[in-house]
Amino acid sequence: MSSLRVYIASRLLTAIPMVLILLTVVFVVLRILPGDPVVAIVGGHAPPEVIETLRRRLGLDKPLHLQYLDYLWKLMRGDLGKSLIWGQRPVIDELMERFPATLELSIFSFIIAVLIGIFTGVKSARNFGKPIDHAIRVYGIVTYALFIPWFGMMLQFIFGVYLRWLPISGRADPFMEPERITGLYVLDSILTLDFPALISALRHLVLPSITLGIYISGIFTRIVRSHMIEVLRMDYIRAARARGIPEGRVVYRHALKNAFVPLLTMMGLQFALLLAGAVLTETTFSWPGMGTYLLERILYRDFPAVQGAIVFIAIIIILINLLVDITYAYLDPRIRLR
Amino acid sequence: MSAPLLDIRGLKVYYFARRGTVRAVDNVSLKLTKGESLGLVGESGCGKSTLGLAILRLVPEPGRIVAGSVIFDGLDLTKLSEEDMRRIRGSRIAMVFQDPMTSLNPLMKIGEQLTETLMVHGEADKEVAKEKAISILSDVGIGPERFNDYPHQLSGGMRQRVMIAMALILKPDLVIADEPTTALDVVTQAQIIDLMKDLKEKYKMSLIFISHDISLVSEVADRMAVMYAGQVVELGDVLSIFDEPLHPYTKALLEAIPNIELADQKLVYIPGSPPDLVSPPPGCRFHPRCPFATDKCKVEEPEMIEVRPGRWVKCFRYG
Amino acid sequence: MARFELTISRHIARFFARRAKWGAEHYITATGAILVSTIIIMAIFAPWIAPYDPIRPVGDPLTPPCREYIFGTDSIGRDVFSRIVYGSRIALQIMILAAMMSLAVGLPLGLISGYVGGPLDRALSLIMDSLYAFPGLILAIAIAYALGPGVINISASIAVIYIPTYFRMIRAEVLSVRESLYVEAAKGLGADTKTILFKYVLPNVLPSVPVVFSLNAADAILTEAGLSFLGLGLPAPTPDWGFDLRSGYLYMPAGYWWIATFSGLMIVLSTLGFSLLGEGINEILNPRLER
Repeated sequence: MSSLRVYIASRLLTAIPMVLILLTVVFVVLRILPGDPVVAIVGGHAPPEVIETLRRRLGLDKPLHLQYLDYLWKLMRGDLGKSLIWGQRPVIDELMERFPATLELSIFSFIIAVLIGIFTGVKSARNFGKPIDHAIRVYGIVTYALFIPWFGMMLQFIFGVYLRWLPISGRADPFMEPERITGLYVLDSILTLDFPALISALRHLVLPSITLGIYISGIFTRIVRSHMIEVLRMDYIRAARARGIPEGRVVYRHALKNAFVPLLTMMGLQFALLLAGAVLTETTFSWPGMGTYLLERILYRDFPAVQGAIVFIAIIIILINLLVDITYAYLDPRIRLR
Repeated sequence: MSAPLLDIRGLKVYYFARRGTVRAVDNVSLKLTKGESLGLVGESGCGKSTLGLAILRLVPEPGRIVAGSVIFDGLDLTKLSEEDMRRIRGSRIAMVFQDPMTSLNPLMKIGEQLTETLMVHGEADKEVAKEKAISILSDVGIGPERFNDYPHQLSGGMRQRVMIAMALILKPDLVIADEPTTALDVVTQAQIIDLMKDLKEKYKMSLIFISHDISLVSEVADRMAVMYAGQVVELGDVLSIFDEPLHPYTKALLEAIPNIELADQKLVYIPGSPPDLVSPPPGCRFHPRCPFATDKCKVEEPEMIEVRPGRWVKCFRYG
Repeated sequence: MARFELTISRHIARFFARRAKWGAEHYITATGAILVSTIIIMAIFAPWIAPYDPIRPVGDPLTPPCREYIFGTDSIGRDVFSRIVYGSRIALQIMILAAMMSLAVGLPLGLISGYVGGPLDRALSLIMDSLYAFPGLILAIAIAYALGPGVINISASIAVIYIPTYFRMIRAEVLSVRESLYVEAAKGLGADTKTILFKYVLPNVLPSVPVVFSLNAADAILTEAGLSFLGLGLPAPTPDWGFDLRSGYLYMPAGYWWIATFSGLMIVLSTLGFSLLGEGINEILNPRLER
């Protein structure tokens, strides 16, 4: 059995309990904590029959352990429940509608953050201890403090209201959305060769992804810098210099290339942070993604939808972490070729 | 008497650390003629590795060459531009490092690491580079089927051979070997030493062999420099030093070598510990551990004296 | 405990004594300390610093910053500056409460788990790792949703996010101390587990707490502001920076920028203050090795 398969198997073995734990935590938080969700939905003054009917419909009248098993059983079949409002569609369908928006925002923000992070991190590591290094480290701390709604608002105000260069809400101009194939507007508009839609989608992506991207880039800078400093201290870097290899090539072809995969991995593991930031970004920019869905349903007290959204997020996080781990193992020849 | 290939004069290399300035190499002068092997011996921390790195101007921050010159084939290396120095590294002066596992890029095939060395020094043709790489690998005893292997797929001894191949691929005039066998087991050590001796003959290179193991150095080198606390304390040809060590430190080093033929042996060691290079002892740096120390030794620093032609000592017992 | 205080004052004295040799991390720490002290002073002396009552309207709505109202007034006519000053009280309250709750749960769990080891440790670590992997803000949203508004509830929501951080850190320290010689010696002398934990393990673990606490504080402010901004925080008319940011947001496109800008700025500056302080102290206590 190749060592890669062993590795994947062992990671799966840890991932499954983690998913289970998170699902249980969600269950506990939403049902066991004080506060009757049914009363929260209909209000304290509703007639008792209404409350009872709703309780039965949501399955909240059964004993807890039965609820728990029911919950897990449904989840395994992909059933996240049905929404309580607006036509009572299956929650999973509604989430899949909103998911591409969050995904697209996350991808663009991630790319921006990675680019900034690598550029500043490498520069910082090469100039260890010099003023530029300190400046970049401060940059890293400052960006994390740029409260996303505030930062987003400032950008909106300057570029949207004052200069009027860029739009400040939504994913595209009205009636300019591309035909829906994947749900990722940029991809869809390229696939359908719909260039006005492409421009519109890109323009709407600029501010939100810069906001979220810069916010996350601070952490990435720190990760890159830290790792690059370690790598640049390695013996093989010194040996490469001793062979007369130019410094630029040493940093990029040897150090960064070696550091790239672990760096990307570490950055990928920050996806949870990206998602959390996405919630705030979506709210600020009226971006119709999972974050706004969650909050909207909280406002409407749509219990199944709220539960479904959180479960969905938990599963995605674990999946992404698993994927990142496995990709890393695959790309490292030390693990691959044993 | 031809001009020396390498002429180090009054070299000082200091590390400027937070706790103080470490005087790793403090006023060292050495000469190396073409085709010669010079051994550099001393305990850990005596500055020998720093000296080797300084020749190639690879001393890491916060270290710097603060004084002196390193004249290689007429050029003062301390005064060269970084780009000129880079051209010399690997092509005219090469270095072999101690730990072959960490000195090879783990994510790069060994063949690639070799051809890369050629290509950054001007070899444009990939095929020619590959041929040269395979040829040098066979010189060090590694077959062409290993060309596409990664370092972790080779044994320790083989990795060191690769390191040696990388050092020799451009046929440098001078090779500096910094503890090349310390990370290897005794059997492999012997093989590598034999290899180095053969290659030295074949390629007619000059060698600086750095080690803490004085008996090992004696096998490889013609001449030897003994270093203590950042300074050279004895210099001369190997046989002569072994026959008649002059400096008390050299004597102690030789006495410390266990003799495999004697049955009951007490292990001899040198009392005291190596000095702190931030504030070394005043006067002769060895005086706290020297059985012959006098009051003069505690106050004044001895000069390097040529006791006989080619035999130098830094000790008051000789003048 | 007295020993601990003495070390702190000694550290602070030393900090200022060697001003000439200050490196970048000292300036960072000093800046952070100034920001943090300003916020603390604002919170403590709010009634004296704030010119007006923060919850009652005192002027015409939406007046721009002027001499009478330094930061202008909000949509109901309340003085923005006074609201911001009083807002620091809420922010600090929740931050401290949340941090203490986290510590109160995370520290003992980490201690026990690290020391006892075995299946308990494995199970707890797995639970903590799972929680740690989950996005903090979303976890807080879920708990805030379940518990409802209120200072304690909000603090609890935030506290849960950082329990895994404290747990991990403490556990790591415990693991390294557990194997050390003097613990062995203590066991040899017959000390029981409780004594070992308190007399030996804990004192070694404590020095790392302030740094994590500081960074935790920065995060807590952001999370609390996030919750308020999303509408899950404290109810009106409590002066809360996140809440004001949200209400100010509605008026920005029309050009009334001061409500959102200043309340948001406070969030940023306080987060920055605690971050700088935490990072700076960390760098001073655990300096990165020079090459």
